This record gives sequence, structure tokens and C-alpha cells, in this order.
Amino acid sequence: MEQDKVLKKAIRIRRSESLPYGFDKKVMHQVFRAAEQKKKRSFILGLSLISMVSAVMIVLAVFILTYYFSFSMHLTLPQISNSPETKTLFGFSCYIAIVILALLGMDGYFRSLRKKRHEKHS
Amino acid sequence: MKYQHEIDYIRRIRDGETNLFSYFIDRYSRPIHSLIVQIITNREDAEELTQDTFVKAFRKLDSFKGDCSFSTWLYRIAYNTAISATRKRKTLFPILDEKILENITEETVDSFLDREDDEELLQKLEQAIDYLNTEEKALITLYYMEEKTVNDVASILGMSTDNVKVKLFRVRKNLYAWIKNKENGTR
Repeated sequence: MEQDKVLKKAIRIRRSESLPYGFDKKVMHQVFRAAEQKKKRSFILGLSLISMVSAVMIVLAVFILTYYFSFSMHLTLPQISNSPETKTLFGFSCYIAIVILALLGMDGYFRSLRKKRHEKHS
Repeated sequence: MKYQHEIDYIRRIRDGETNLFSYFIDRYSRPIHSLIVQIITNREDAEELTQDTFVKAFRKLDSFKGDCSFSTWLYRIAYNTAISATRKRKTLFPILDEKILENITEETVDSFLDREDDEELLQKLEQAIDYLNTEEKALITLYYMEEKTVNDVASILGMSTDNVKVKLFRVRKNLYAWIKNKENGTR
């Protein structure tokens, strides 16, 4: 096909439009966005997988303890009782745990907000 | 060597060095755009599809096995992206009568396309290329303009090498027939 030089020339002339200025930057911006989405997706996937495995392990542990070892809370740990005092203590512990989780969440949120602002300025 | 260099870049991008992808954009955006612009005549659409090609390539980078060069893999994505866009539009292309093509010999086409400095022929060829279908346009762009081997063209277009060779001869015959038809004022 060496002799088809005229055809080669015709194809070259036919569409000699070039890409606009800043095309590379525009594509890279989209690529970075896709990378971010990819990261988020893999994080969510990992988290879901860990949660699922943990849930399965807990269910399995309860099932084995109850049905294979005939584990009974009252027989094995009689010192743990369902008195009103322990119930209040349990409620208070739950409240503290929720407050800590909320504070940690807020800390994470404000940190990411600060980071984003910092990136924007730089 | 260049191939190995690109493999190394791909491995690093997969490991999180996203900014290295700019090397591939810089290296291949023009040839990829040239291919798409031959298939999609609209300039804005061609630019958008070139962009889509690179974003798709980045998203699918994990599926790149390295059994072909990165450029061949990228061209395949570009071709499929452009073809999908043309399918949505359902563009119709004129078809030549098989009998006309059968009567054209290889020697006639060879001597016809051998005139390199014939400006008139050049103009006629430019117009005749428009009559080719998307696959044929991609075929000649990859083979003549991007100077890809028959094997690479076959891999990009998802054809056998024999099929590519047959289609290349057929495209040349088609172009000759379109030009002659126009000269004779018949279709």
C-alpha cells in the first residue's frame, strides 16, 4: 500500500482540526474526579464487606454459643443482673457513646471542610 | 522499550499516582481525536467523545491486561465510543452496486491512486471518503494516517487480519468507483 500516498494525503487534509487549548487540563480534571469516585466506591465496598463479615461472625458466634455450647447468661454470669440500677447505667453509657460518636463525626466533617478550603486557596 | 515504559506508568497510576495519566493524554489525544473526527463529523461531538475515551480508559485501567499495546487498547475504546455515538444517530450511507465493484481490477485502482501530486484527485478523494461508512473511515484512518499494522487495526476494530486486508482493498475500490461515478455523472 506504499503507492497510496495520495489517499494518505487526502485523509490528512480532510480532518486537520486540532484540539482546543486547555483540552488536556479539562480531561485531567475529569480523570481526577473519576479517581475520587473510584476511591469512594472502593471505600464503601470495603466498609460494606467488613460490616457484612463482622455481622456474619457475630451471628455465627451467638448461634454456636447458644446451640452447641448451650450457653446461658444467667447460669454462666449470675453477677450480671437486670436490676433498675444497671439499666440506668446502661442508658448513661449509651448516651456517652452517642455523644462521642457525634463529636468524632463533627471533627471529621470540619477537618475535611478545612482541608477543602485550604486546597481551594492554594 | 516504549511499551515497557507505558506499562510502568500504568502500574503507578493503578497504585494511585493519577497525575501520571496526563502523559497518555498528552501522547495520544491528537491521534485519538483524529480517529474520532473521521467517524463523527461534528467537531464538538468529536471533542467530547475524545474526552469520554480518556475518562473511560482511566476507569477501565484495571482491566488492561497488557496483551496488546496501550495505544491499541485506547484506540479500541475510542472506536467503540465513536461507533456507539453514530449508532444513536442512525446515519445512512450510500451503497455501491456489487457488479460495479466486481468489474474494477486491482491494477486499475493501483494506477489510479499512484498519482501523488494530482490536486484534482486529492479533492475528489476527500469528497469520496465521506461516502464511506464509519468502519471503513476508521479502517483507512488507522492504516494510512496512524500507520498502524494490519494486526493492530484488526485488534482495534475486532476483525481478523484477513478481513482487514479484504476491507482495505474494497475501500480503495469503493473510492475509485465513487470518483468515477461522479465524473460520469451517474450513481
